Amino acid sequence: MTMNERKTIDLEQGWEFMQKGITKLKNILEGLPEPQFSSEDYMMLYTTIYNMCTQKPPHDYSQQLYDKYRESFEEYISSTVLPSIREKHDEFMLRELVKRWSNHKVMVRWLSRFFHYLDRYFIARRSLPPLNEVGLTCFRDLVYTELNGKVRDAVITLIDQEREGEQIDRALLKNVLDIFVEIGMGQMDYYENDFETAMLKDTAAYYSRKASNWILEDSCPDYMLKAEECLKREKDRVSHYLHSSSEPKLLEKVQHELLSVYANQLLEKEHSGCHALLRDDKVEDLSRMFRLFSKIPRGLDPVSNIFKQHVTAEGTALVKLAEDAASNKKAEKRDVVGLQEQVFVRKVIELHDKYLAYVNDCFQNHTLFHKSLKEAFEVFCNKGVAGSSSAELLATFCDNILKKGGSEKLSDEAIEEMLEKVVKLLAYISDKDLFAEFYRKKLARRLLFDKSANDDHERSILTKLKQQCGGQFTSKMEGMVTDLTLARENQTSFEEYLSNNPNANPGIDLTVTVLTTGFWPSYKSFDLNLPAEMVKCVEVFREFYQTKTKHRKLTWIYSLGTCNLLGKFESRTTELIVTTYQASALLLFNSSDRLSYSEIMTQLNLSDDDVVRLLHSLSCAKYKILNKEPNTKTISPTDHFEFNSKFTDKMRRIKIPLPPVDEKKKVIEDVDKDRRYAIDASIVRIMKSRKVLGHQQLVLECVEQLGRMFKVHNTLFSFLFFFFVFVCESFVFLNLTTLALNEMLILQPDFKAIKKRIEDLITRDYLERDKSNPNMFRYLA
Amino acid sequence: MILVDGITLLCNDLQVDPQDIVMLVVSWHMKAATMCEFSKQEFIGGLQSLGIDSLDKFRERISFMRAELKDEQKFREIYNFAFAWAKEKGQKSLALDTAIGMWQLLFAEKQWPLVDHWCQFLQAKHNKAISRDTWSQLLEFARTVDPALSNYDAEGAWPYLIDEFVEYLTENGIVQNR
Repeated sequence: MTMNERKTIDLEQGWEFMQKGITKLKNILEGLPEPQFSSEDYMMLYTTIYNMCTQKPPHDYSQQLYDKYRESFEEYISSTVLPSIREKHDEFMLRELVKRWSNHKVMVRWLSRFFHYLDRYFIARRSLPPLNEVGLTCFRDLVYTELNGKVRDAVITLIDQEREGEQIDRALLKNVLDIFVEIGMGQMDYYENDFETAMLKDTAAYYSRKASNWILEDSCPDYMLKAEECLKREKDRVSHYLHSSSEPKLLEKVQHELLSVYANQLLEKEHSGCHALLRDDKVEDLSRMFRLFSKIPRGLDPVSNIFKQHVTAEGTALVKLAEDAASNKKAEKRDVVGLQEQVFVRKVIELHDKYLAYVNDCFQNHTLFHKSLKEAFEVFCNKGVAGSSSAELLATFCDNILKKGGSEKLSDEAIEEMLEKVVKLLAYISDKDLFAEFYRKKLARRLLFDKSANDDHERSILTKLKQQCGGQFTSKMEGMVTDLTLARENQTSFEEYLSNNPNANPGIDLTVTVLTTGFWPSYKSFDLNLPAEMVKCVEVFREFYQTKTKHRKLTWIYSLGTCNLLGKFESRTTELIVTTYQASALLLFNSSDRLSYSEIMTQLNLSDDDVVRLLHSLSCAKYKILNKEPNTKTISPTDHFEFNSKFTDKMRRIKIPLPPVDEKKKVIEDVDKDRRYAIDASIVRIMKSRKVLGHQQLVLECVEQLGRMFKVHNTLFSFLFFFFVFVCESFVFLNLTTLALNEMLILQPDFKAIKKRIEDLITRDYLERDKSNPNMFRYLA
Repeated sequence: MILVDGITLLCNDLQVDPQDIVMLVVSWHMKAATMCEFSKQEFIGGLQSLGIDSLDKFRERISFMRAELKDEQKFREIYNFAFAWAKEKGQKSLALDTAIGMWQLLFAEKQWPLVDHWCQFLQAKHNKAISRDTWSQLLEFARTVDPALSNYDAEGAWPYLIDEFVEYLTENGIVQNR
């Protein structure tokens, strides 16, 4: 058939034909017995439209067909679809709606295929909505617009029923909600505005009611369990029938009503709140608490605060416990760090382990909780116990682990672990420089008197300290450890020298330890008058030393030497291991039978303190080498002494200890002095460059500068010190002088201290106050 | 040099007590270096600046000098002058007893309610000499901070001793907790 021969189809005619097709389709949708469309049926319908659109005017009926297309839907919806839905309610209505929507989509699909030709040219030419859209819009405008409110309410009712535990038809709900989505034809507006908003509001109201009941009836853990369950269920709900975009909004509402609103009440519940959970170690509940509260804005702040308070309280209780125990000690043992303090440190370590585990496990390594733990520990770790600062306690604790015969008997691994933990604790202590000093002093004792249990452990802890506090913290200590190795080599060369120069031999076995002054703690050096035999030794070594180097000065410290003397008593000869001071005193009796206190003091050239101590150790202690007249328990300046020839002991060799002087005060003094210098230097440095500066700013800059580690002075000169040991009428002395190199770790300088130094600098005319503004300072050149 | 005896005679002639604060003002005008001493230069120079050439004139000027203490600016100068004047030659700080005596005198002129507490505090807690900075800042403190300490700035640049004084007042309930 050619175009010319095609018969013009009249609109009425053509539409009548189309109408048949449409009716057929409706029947099929209604479920009436009706055969399916064959290909020919389809072709005919399509071609009819085609023809009617391509006819020459006035017979091109595109516009009319377009309108009739839409009217077909409108008619069908108004006459059949709407009434059928309207007459039903609740769930039944929803089912009808779903069915009708599904049918409608089919109808749109088919009809738009029949009328497809319009889609190809007509709609584009006239910029009209395509057929698919027209079809869906009809449903929307007629059905959806009227019914969406009812539908929404029905859906929400079902949701609430499900929340109460009833079983509902989830598939149905999914289908209904799909309508809301699809009706938007690409936009989510209808879903959000017509359904979601109301659903969220209802959800909020629902949970608000629930929460207000639960908060009164349930304990915190129970409430949290319920909350967690609710959140889980809502999430589940979304995955089953709500649109995925609702999830965050929905969960947020639930979290708000269940958690945010009642957060404080929940946490502070008297017997089951956060405090109680921490107290009772309810790890699981705490983990849940973390999970829940991490979801609400700033939810973790109060939790971490309570955590901090709890840890602080526990720590402070430990401090009090130790203080109480210490105050029950006998008065004379007050200044010595005793067993209670050791126990205290160990308990603090345990506390730290415990709560660090909490932070890592329950609180999932969250920074807020790390911070709380740190702040808590900083509070009580800086409280001293029984007059000893925490810095000293830690240093003593380390000493006990590292020395031979220390009170901590542990395996190698256990020691490593313990040292690791101690170093971690050091992070919380503000007076780190004080710790360094105490540690250094005790390290010196361990090294010099060969009391170190294990070299590897010594090095290991230094490595750990270095990692934590930087190289400057440990450089001196490392130097000390190295020095001993060098000293041994030096001794070997000395012995070689003696064997090569037999004339030089002083006739006494002599061991010398040469050390570098700067590394070791400062020891006071007194001008002890040595016995002649010892003087010779000193000279010999000096000569030897000259052969090695001429650029260093030797300073001798006798207070740390050891001597082995042979005491020829009546019953037998006994070897006495004594300090150099004691030996010098004893050797005086080689030439005098009886000496007074003052004679001894004059001949030895020592202070009263030293003389009293040493005479006490020789005449009033366990071993009475000297007889004292009068035979009282204390030394007085009017006493007289004689060699006790009748002394006897079953041991061939005895050690007569000389109790050491208390170092504590000196250490604290030294550190304080160092700090003052550092602060002064810092202030002057700042003022010199700024010329004029306000008080607040000066303090702040000072704090900043001092917070880093730095060297205050440089090496002015280096000294070496020596250490000798003889056997058989031998003596040992140790000599050391410190160097002015000071390293300081002021990590939390004191505002008051800085203020005091500023005032001191004003008095010393380095600074002045500005005449018009007393809050400003000027540098005086 | 006019020394203690000479000064006593002078005071007799002026009909003024040697402990009278106006003598401090006189010393100030004379730029005297130390208390109880006037060098010839200081004496003559002071009289010239005051326009005094007779004993009668001197007596008249006494009341003028008393009035000078009421002037805020002059009082401050006199107060600060008093530090150098009252301290021992060669010392940098003022002995506590002397300082307290001076303060009693000066703050009788310019009322400061806390002066007694201040002196008590020093004797109980400090017991050392007073630095120049503390001396001069105390006047500022008395002038600017009210006795209830409501406008005291703990973060300010007050000397350490004054901060301690504030703590002392709060601890002993003399002033309410701020």
